[in-house]
Amino acid sequence: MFRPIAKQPDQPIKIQFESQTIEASSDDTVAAALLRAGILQFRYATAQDPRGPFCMMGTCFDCLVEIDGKPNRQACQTIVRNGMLVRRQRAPIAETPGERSKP
Amino acid sequence: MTIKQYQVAVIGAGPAGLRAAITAAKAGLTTLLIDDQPAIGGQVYRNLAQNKDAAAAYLGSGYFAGTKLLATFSQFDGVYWPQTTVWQITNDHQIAITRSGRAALVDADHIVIATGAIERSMPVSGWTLPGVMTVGGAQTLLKQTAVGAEHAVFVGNGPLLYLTAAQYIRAGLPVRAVLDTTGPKAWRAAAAHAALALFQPAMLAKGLSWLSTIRRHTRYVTGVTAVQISGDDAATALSYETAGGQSETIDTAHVFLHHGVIPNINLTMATGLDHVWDRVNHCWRPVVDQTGQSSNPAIYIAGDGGGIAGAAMAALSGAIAADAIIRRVKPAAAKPLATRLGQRFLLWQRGAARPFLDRLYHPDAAFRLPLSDDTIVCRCESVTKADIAAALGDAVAGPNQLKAFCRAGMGRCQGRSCGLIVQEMIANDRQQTMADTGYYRVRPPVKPVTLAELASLDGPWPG
Amino acid sequence: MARISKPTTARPVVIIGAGIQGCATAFFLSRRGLPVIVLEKDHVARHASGVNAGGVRRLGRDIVEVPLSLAAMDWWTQIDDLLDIKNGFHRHSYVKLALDDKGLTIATDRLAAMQAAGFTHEVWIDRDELQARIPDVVKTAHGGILVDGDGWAIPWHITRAFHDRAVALGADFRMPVAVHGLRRIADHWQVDTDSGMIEADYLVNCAGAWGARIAAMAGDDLPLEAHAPMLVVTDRQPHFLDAVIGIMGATLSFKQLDNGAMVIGGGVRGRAKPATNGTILPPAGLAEFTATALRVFPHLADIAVLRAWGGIEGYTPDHLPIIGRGSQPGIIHGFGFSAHGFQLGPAVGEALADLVMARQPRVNLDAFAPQRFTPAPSKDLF
Repeated sequence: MFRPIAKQPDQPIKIQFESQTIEASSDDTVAAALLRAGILQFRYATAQDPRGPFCMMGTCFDCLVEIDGKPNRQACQTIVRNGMLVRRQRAPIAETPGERSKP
Repeated sequence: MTIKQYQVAVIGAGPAGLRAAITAAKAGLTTLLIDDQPAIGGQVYRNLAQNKDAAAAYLGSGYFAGTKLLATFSQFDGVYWPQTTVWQITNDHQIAITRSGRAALVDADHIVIATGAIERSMPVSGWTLPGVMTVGGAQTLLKQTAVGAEHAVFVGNGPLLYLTAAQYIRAGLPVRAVLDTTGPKAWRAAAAHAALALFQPAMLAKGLSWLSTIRRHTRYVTGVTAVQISGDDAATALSYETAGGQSETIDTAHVFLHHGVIPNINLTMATGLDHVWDRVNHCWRPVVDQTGQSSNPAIYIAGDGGGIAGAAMAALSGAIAADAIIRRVKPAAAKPLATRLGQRFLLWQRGAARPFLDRLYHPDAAFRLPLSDDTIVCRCESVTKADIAAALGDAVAGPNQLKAFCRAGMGRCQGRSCGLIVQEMIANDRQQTMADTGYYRVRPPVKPVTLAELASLDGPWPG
Repeated sequence: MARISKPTTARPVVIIGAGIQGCATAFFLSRRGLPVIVLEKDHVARHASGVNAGGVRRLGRDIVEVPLSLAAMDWWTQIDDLLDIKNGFHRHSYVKLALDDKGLTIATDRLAAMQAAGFTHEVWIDRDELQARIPDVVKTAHGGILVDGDGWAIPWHITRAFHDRAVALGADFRMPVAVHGLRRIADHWQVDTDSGMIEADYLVNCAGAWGARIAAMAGDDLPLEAHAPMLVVTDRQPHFLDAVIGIMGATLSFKQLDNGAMVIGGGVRGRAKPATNGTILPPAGLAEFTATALRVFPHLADIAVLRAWGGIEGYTPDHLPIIGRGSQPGIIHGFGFSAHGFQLGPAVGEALADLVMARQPRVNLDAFAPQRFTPAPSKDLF
């Protein structure tokens, strides 16, 4: 479990992750805010393949989330904004070849 | 649209980039500093300006040593563009960027690439599980947000691992264990260079103090030869074995991996610069001369991106690269010979311990390669060791042909995570050297660019 | 299938180049029992044949190419059986959109020309039908020209499959082996390579962007320029497109793969450096065709391009391939496909094999004759 180790700066920002409201400070990355709130699974590469932030510096591309409707955003490279709507990223195509998934 | 011309464009605002940009601007060259982060400092000095107070003392003196450099940036009278992504450099040294959702081309007579290093992948079983991060990632979270994980297990070796574990401990975060993968062979290989290392007594003393902190405050296990992480939706446990026959399973939700950093070569490779296989450090690095000039005379490399050497060296190499450019453009403003010789000496002195450290912490083959068949190698495309082994059976010529067979390397990261692993799997399979095996052909854009951003390249530029 | 009597010869047919043309030719010749050696300076499908947009279309062909394209489509419709693969040809439809008035005029003229020539595979679909088929297409499109039954393939997959089947039938692929010289001696050829000299009864020049270089070694001076048409691949999207899309009067090729990624190309050219296998991709060029893609599918604005590349391809002055006998006996050329040779591959391979065996090819190849580029012989020769 990630936890703050020092008094955190003011956290006036509120973002939404799925159905959860999360507080953050104005220079938090989305990844940091979600990790601090105890969220570890940011996306599912396949149904059995959960991923979360790995490198925290924008090179592993594992922290991808959907932000305000836009897919494949690197959570560790995006600064929070008040009212931001973040959702887990799911694989757009079903794993079974030939099967079509709904958008 | 093409932005006005700069005499120097510096890419990366870590110590090397900052020093290069400050040096060039001070000599009167029109200078642009581009960085993808919101604040200067790169990885090593991340969030330094915000971490001034004593509450962050656990980050250590090495971190705060960057304060002076960052302070001199306030006198930088060039142009600074944060949150700007470089996605291509053309062979007539135009830089393609995106900024605020738009793309543009920057015309620069000279370019200093100071994009630093990335973590070397450690493909242990379960390394993709949520809760598993690189040590660098854990340290970034600490620096940026003062957030850390309790009861984490650190696995691997190298200065960054010991430093971060020590920072964690000093910050009051209980560490479950530090598992050191340094093998006996490494000590033997390093011994020949130990004497040179004594020229950097302060650095050695620091390293010893980190290890002492670790030994006193957590379990420190040496000679670790195998690691497996298990869990379903996240990491829940880690099992390890040692050369001495120990084996154990530790309950933990957080594992931090590290066995070295390597130059971040995606931009330099996509730009078509010459690279060489560095056998000692087991990585690719750009071919550069003593001033950092690459195989393209207009492009210089400074900092860890040209070869791993640490923050102090990075700043110095940034100054040297900028000075070499100044000598070409405005010789009257260049540093005199005596200063350059002094810089050369400092470069040598600050690198004296590297031959020792590079050999001591050379990543072991057991941790460079995946052990189990179901371990994911290409994280982006979820390609496992078994998938790659099956493709190798078709007598694949090299990493680029392998891509077509099994998709390894075709994901977003363009090989940053899997490139060296795949290269070594092919080299072993075909019984050829790493140098002969080669690497993925890295293509622009080196960071993803949206269709809207790309399409806007011809449009107006808001600045 | 009737057994064709083999020419009595101890020497093999040497094919230069293991792209789609070379591999298909090797397949057809091996199938007929001829000894084949393929010399490839890199590896199978290293260049244009491995990295093109994969369009399998009759749509939009130069009128003189249509018969060859139709013949090729006969092979495409049975490609899985032919090559012992699965899902080789993603068959659905190809639509070239009339996005604006200019496109509409071009479409109208083209349909008239095709009809006059007796070809019926291209049909007009109006705005309503276009929207019904492709709901995400930009609403202002007038309609387009449709060919049902065109589609796409993964070029590397198909080229590799031709190679695999040829090998299974006895073809000998030697890679990487570069050709340095060609010499006609008495009744055969000597081929100088970087691993020794090979004797051949027939040479087939399928060397793509290097085709003119090889042709010159045999005394044929043929015009060819090397360029690198560019493509990009994007992030994955939920499936929304079965058809392959082009545009009348603009450069675009757009398709969605099974895994949801989109491959966008069309032919905007980067620079090729054939001597080093290098390509140079101008960012402005990438911007050009991706902007065009956005005009067609505005809803994709936030989808990212992950990677761009260019394939090294050879272009002739009239953008028609060079297919036919060279000036010396025993050499046949099949190169210069000017970025639209992939779909033609199976028919070209069959035709080149026919020419080697002194059989009349099914399709009239006069329009592609190498001689169209050589000046008429002087009367003194006769």
